[in-house]
Amino acid sequence: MQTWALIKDSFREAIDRKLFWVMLAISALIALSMAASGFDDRGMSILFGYMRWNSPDLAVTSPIHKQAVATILGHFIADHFLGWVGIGLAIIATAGTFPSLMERGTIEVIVSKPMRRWHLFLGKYLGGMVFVLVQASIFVLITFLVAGTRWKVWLWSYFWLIPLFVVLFSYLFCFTALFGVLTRSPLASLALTFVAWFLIWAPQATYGLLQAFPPRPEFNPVVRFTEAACSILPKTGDISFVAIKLTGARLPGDLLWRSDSQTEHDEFVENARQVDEESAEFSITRSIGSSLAFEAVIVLLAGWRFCRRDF
Amino acid sequence: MEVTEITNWAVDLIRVHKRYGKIHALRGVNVQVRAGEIFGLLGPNGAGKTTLVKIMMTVVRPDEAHGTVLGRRLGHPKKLARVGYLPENHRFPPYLTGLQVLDYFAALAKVPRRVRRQRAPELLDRMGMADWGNTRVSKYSKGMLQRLGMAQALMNDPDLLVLDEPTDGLDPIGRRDVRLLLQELRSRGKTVFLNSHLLSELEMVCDRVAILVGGYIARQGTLSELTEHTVEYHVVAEGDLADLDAQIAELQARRDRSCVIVTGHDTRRVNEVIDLLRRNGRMIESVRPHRFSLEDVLMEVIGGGEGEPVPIARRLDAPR
Ligand SMILES: Nc1ncnc2c1ncn2[C@@H]1O[C@H](COP(=O)(O)OP(=O)(O)O)[C@@H](O)[C@H]1O
Ligand SMILES: [Mg+2]
Repeated sequence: MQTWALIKDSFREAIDRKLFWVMLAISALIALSMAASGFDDRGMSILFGYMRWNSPDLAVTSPIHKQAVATILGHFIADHFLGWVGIGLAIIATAGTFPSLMERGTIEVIVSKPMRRWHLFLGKYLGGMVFVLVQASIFVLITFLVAGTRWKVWLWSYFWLIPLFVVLFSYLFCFTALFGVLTRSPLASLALTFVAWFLIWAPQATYGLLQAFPPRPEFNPVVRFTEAACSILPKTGDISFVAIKLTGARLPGDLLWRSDSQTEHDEFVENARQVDEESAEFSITRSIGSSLAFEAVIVLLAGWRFCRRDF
Repeated sequence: MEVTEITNWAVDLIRVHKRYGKIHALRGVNVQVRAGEIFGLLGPNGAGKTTLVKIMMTVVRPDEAHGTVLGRRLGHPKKLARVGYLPENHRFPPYLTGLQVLDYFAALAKVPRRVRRQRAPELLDRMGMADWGNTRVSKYSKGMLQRLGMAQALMNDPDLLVLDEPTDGLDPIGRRDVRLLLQELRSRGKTVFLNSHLLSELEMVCDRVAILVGGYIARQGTLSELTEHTVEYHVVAEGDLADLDAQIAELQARRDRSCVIVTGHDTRRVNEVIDLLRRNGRMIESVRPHRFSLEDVLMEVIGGGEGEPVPIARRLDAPR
């Protein structure tokens, strides 16, 4: 009952701050622009049928059609939209969670209620997560419906994005909570969370570059440092990889393949097999597990501070 | 070391210490409140009243504290379900309406939903705000917020009500309403713990009072206990009495123009002063016992003597 009251309050606050509606509007806008294009047996149309191209390559009967849609959903939307814009919006929307809980004159009443401070802290933490879960579910559901009705692909694996998004968000939300508890200011906690996000992203980006362009041996300490940082810090970058894997999306380059010749088709299949092999080496459990462990440490730190302090 | 025992005190605070960095806000406070009484904690601003209440309500962690609240160890969250609290300068989330505020905080206090639904409008009505339940609290005036705060503190039908400066920001009528409400609660067997820097507030409703100054309890007792040992008699005679100063001093009295002041209840000495004046042919105009008001006591405690006030080191004995 107490936890439910805290969650409900998180929603009331978010709805009051209009961000709830802003985020819903953005979701609706994206769904609408997706719905503007459509595929059928003969080809594709854009601008709600204003222009259309008839071609067997573009039609829903094309062997790559499902793959292409999966890539748009699982790669473009998941990685580029949800993974960056969506997370950013979610952080902005939840930055005030702890500062507003700890508002002077309010927190005195709240902590004097018959509940442990840990319960209060975790209830509020959960409140932020549930808010993001609801937003992500709405977004995924409506874009799923659009893809199904307008593009004729019912990509059930797309729903994996909901938990993945929440997990990715939680990697950063622990920082929002920590900085919120420490500063009691939504703006400071927002800014510091973005700094933390950058600091988490930087070693992963560096690591990617080092993989692509192996440096000279004298840079080995840098490599080792980057590797160490990557293995400790939350693996935000892995989430999009997992999303691609679970939705069956392909990297866009693979889609340039056209179904003209059998050899090219075979090449495509071979490519796909290689990508699958690479991703088979990758352990979702280890990636998410170690990231959640890091998150737990930050949450413990924030909660400990919250429970120890005077109001 | 736990100094916890079953007592009849509704609130029994023993040796409470709190430092904020260099500020030693509470220096071994002992406060005992009987069940069913209105207890007033009086003291100037910065005396540590709010700090003491916050320690009771687990908002602030004490450096040292012993004792019980409603029979449970101080700081035990369970018992807080039976306590209502109105903090100083409280504010409610501005996006909530009056009814939502009552519902939210009562849910955190584990009041069942059905009870909340019924009690929230009742209490608003009791506070004279029946029409404001669906208005956002951001539109409330200071006085309305204060009354909503009282309603909030009563939502769990508490056995103990803790109020920090409850009449802050209220007009005289609002103050009277609070007084009447507190008296009504007392008649229903509730205990009230009241903080105030305003003496007149406490004098009118409290059964017992403690005076907190500089982190110490300087006096504690019923109003009559606090004032009785400081009775004076004023003997007013005609004309100037300067020529009798030596004899007046002999009788351990002092003179203020044509008034001789005898401190204490010793009526024999009062009669001796009258005899002295009559012997010297002075007309006596009046003899008046002058009981110290709580204000005099307060002034004496706060301003009396240099240095630190004398703390009450001992905890009171259990009632009955
Ligand atoms: N959070 C705090 N940090 C530092 N000092 C504080 C804090 N709260 C109170 N104090 C100090 O403790 C003393 C007692 O304050 P308080 O309990 O608010 O007194 P009162 O309620 O009697 O006016 C004051 O000197 C005040 O400045
Ligand atoms: Mg105060």
